Amino acid sequence: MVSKSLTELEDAELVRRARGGDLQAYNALVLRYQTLVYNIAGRILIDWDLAQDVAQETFLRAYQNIGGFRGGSLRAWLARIATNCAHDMLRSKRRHPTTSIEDLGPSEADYMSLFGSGAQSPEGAVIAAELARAIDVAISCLPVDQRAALVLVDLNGFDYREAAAALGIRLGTLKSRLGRARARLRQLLREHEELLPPSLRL
Amino acid sequence: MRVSLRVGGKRTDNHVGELLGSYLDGQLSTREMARVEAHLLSCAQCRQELEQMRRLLALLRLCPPARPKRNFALVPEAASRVERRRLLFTPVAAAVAVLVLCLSIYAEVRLSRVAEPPGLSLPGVSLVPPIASVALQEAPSAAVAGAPIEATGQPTPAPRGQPQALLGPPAAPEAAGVRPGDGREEGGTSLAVTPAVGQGRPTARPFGFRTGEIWRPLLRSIQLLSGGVFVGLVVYWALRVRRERYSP
Repeated sequence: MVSKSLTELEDAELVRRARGGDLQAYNALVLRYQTLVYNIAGRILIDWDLAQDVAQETFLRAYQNIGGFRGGSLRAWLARIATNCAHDMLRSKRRHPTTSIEDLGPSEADYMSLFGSGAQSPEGAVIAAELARAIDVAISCLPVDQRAALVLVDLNGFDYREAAAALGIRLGTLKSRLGRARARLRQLLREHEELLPPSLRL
Repeated sequence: MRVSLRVGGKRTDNHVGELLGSYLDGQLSTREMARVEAHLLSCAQCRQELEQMRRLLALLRLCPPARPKRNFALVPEAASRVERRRLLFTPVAAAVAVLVLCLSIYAEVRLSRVAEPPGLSLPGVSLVPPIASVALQEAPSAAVAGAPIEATGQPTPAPRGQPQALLGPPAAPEAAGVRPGDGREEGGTSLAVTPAVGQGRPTARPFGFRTGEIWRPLLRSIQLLSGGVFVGLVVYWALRVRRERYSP
């Protein structure tokens, strides 16, 4: 009953309640945004297991700092925390590189279970998984700051202003990072078109 | 054609690859847009890239989001842990630092007020009259000036007991400034007073401070330390807030 009404409330109201210590209201926000946060983290890290830790940490930090949210777009604020957490994770990964055998990256089956479950048909699921994997391979060649811009705008539907706010950069900076990221990605996917499913080649 | 002529005159063969995406999003300024369009008219390669860019953006939008395998809702224990973290650390630590700073400044003010003017009611300062009276009898040298100090329990210039170290010796040097007034009131040769005590005072200054003023370097370092901690906390807090705060 209660949770049903919570899911219908607007972000601002849920934030207000969460600030007052209402954990259920906060968790309604978590459910609303967890896919977004998980996807931002996963694409920046290109590691969908670590992305779970980062998503959890993001929601902890957001809860801790919810007093610092001053209105505006909640998803941009969460995206900001998520990219910060992901950057921290990348740094600590670089400092403690793991060389275990599982470090070979996710398998095709992993991509199927992550990206294929929403597809209408089995073929659709395969294509979605192949596409998602091709994108991961391609964006792993981008510098992290360019990657973050592309992840927000092109993979998660942020507009330029929101993305610039989320990354804490100016609009012009965002445009140029995004422009470089897209140009490089186009080039990569042209040169390695075998990455893409045949029906989707550029 | 009109446009390509104008561009041809300028001889721009720098391609517009990095602007193509924003061009498709309609996010270029008027000038940039004119430049891209002009260039596209004259450059087959960039026209082809534009088409590829269109397909790329469509493709990226086509990619479905990954479904998280679990829920990230906070359990109450995690939430209360975070609440404790949130509530306390930085502001409380900063407040404590400020409090310590204020207390140490207050202590310094109090202590130097005790040391300077004739706060006769205080036990340490009661040293002054004996010295003055001895000096007034024109007992000239360090030996005599040392005697009354011994009498009040200060055998050596080097401080032994803490409270005496705090209050005893500082009173003696400052007494030099005070005494002429006292001397005149009591009548007699006040001129002889100053040199006598000048020789007699405990003069060792190990770290630029008089021996008896151990509280000065102590308080100074407490002040520096707490001030530094406070500044550090404020900087840390500001950085964290700036990092987490989203301003639309």
